[in-house]
Amino acid sequence: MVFLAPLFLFGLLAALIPIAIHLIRRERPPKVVFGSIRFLKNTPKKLILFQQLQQWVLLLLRALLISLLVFAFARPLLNQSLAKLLDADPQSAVLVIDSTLSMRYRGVFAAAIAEANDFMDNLGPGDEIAIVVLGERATVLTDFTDEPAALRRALDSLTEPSFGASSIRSGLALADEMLAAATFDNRSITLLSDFQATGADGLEGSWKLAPGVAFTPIDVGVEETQNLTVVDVRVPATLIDGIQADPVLARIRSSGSLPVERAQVSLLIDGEVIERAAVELTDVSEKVVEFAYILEGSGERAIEVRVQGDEFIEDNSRFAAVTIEPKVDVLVVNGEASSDWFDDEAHWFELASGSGVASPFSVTSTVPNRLTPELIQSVEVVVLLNVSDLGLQQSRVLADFVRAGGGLLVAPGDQTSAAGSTLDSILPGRLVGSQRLRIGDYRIIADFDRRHPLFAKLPVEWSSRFQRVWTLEPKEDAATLMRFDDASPALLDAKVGAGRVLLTAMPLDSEWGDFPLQPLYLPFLHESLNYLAARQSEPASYVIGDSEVADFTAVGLTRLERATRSQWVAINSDTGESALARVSAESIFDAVINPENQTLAPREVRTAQRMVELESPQRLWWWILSLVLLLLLAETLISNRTYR
Amino acid sequence: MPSNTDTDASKSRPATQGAANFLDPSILAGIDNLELRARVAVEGFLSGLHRSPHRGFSVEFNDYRHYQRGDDLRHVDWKLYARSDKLYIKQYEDETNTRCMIALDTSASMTYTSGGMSKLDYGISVASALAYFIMRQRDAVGLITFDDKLREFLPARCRQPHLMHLLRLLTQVSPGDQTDAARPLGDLAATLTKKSLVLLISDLLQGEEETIATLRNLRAMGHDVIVLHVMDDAELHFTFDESSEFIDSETREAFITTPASVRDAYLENVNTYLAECKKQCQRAGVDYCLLNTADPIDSALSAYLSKRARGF
Repeated sequence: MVFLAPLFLFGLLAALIPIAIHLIRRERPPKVVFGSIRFLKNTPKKLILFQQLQQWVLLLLRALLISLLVFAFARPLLNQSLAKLLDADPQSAVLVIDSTLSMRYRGVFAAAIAEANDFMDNLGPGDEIAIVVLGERATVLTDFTDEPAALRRALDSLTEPSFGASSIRSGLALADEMLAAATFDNRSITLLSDFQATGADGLEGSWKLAPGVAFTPIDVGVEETQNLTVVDVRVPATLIDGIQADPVLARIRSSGSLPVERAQVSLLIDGEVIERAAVELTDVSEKVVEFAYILEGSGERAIEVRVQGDEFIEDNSRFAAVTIEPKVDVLVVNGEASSDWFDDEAHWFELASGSGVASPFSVTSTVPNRLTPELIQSVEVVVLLNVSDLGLQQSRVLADFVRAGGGLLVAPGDQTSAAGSTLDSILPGRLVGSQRLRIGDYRIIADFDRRHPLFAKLPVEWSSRFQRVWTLEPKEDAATLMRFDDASPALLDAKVGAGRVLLTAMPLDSEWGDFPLQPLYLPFLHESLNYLAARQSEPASYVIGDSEVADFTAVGLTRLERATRSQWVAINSDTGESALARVSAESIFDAVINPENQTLAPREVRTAQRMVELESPQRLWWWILSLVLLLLLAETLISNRTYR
Repeated sequence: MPSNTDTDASKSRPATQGAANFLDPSILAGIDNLELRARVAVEGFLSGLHRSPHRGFSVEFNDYRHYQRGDDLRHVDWKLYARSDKLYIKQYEDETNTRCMIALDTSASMTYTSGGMSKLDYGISVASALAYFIMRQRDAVGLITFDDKLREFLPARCRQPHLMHLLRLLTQVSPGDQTDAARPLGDLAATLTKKSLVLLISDLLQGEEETIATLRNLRAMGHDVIVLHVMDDAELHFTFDESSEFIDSETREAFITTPASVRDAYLENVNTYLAECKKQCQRAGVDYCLLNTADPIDSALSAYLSKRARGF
């Protein structure tokens, strides 16, 4: 129970008056000299006790009368929750706390937590509060609750900001969505942030908070900042052993409001400092550092580039992971070998796949009758170029090789026989026959499967022309990756066991078309061989908050367990968080506040209105005064019986 | 309604009609002269009797008897001797066959009044009226006053100056302390050599059993006894309303109570007490008459006459 006019409760002190009178002015009753009190002394004792009891009941009644009158004047309300509403003009508020990387700047997050605690201190009874945290993404730390202890516990759990980056808009949108289902009409959002400019991205549009939602931005950032950031480390995720790699490049940026003229940059490989470099940033805010160290050897390398010389060290390192792999072993079975390059079936293929030091492939050539099981087992990919047919033993070994995980590329030509091949069991389609088109007529590649990894890095335009092609009949489990302009398959793909088989409808030399002369020939072969060798490179660098590394909340290098293998990956912060340029809280307010917001009536007016609304259905004072009347009657009866 | 603080009994009681008004205690209380008060009371009482069967009943004439040896020569009627030459002894006027002794309780409890006459004043009025009335009938009347012991003693005589003496004595009565009627009454019994009528005027609030036992002894000695039990109206009906500290007039013992809460129990106690007093008196052959100080005093005179009529 609470009271609309609680000051009247001081009147309860008046209840002490009867007690004081009883205790202080204990007047002796009038004396009566009586003839004999012998008849009085013999009255039953219980009557005397009852009389004393009556006196105490009278005293209690009088104190109770005064107390009830005081209660009536204090205008009590029974419903405590309603009373809370009245007392505090309760609100539904969402406290949005920026916990992105930039909040790690010296003392900023501590200031935000202090402001949050002040916010909690000023809560009124009945206020329901939710807390939203802007970290890797906007998340609800605590849903609406009116328990200060729960809110304090939630705040205490925020020991340090995250390394993530998320926009102010995402947090405000989440808070706005939560307020839509809030209890009270008095709704507000309080944002504690350093108001980093990059965090305000997305607020310049038409999005606004819902009408009626008040917004209070509180700036906890510092005006003058000094920051150096390694915004990029340029190094390929995968290297091929033996191929000369590019040097490691790092881009250093000064992004604070105060310039940093000199910085020290270090390159760490597997945790050891390999190289240091001094950076002059006198006239520029960004500079690229090229390290002389060249990655070599095989296996995985953990790379860190670290810069020193500023006050904000949280973004001073950037990480990269590099895997150095051996070359892909490719065995080319040349079905039409010739000493003349223009007649040699494998000439163009070997030119494209290369056998030099810069090639990622190690190509070995042979002819069908020299194809031995040992040769097959020593490579990752076998390429059959215009091979007429293989022996049963060779076909069986080749089939086992594919099922065990090997790759097979079959490019039929004029030497290749149609149906009845010993490799029919593993080929993705059946060779129906080849047709030579009329002079002047040709087939072109009209369509290909853009979602297939083989074509992920290939350009869209294909301009090869073919005067003769094989007609392929795909098997049920085969995928048609390329089609000619007559919709006939140009490239079939099938998974056989753990390996893969690609079947083309044309040879890979220039006898039936000009495909080897086109720019796409080389990347097509490289992607095909990599695809068959199952050497698809996985991303080795992530920004914190990415779904693949959602479990990791700190920047650095970590081992990621993939389905196929375990791999070192680098997790870096969003470079946008390192840009400490700020926007004003007022601009954020202007950007998000809804122009349809109606001005709330003054708190006193709202309180008075609510008092009337709450009190009207439960006029307790009426009942209390009725009770006072009854008690007065009882008091009169008892006092008449007791005293007069 | 009388109370202990502001009570006027005369205002609360309806006035009696005619001559009986003179017996009203409130009227009698306004008469300072005790003789006049007694006369007013008796005349009023007698005028109210009209053709009373008791009229002339008590008239006795002086007589002569023959002289006997040993008689005091002062009592010889010499004039008669001159005429008749015989010696006759003149009998004294007080030598009647009715001798009354009025025993008045003057203890502290008799001073209580709820308004108007106190029990003691009422008793004095009754005693004076009875004395006047008895003397008027040529009977001898005496008086003792007592509280816990005998205070005043006036032998029974029938001469007119004796009445004045008695009334003067009554005007000089002062309240005593505690009550012990048995002892003074015992002393009285020792002085009564002839058959007498003892009129005890008392509230009997202390030692009523011993008192009645003494009265029983008086009866055994051949005396007639009338107990005029004087009680205040407030004592009989407990007409108090306000919580008060009641103080015993004799023992000074105090008792705080609320009348409303104890009234029923009090009245039950009083009625039991009165009934027991009456019962004990009747058992002892003692006439008992309860007198309320708020009532006219004719009850006392009626009680006397009633006893006289039965051939005392």
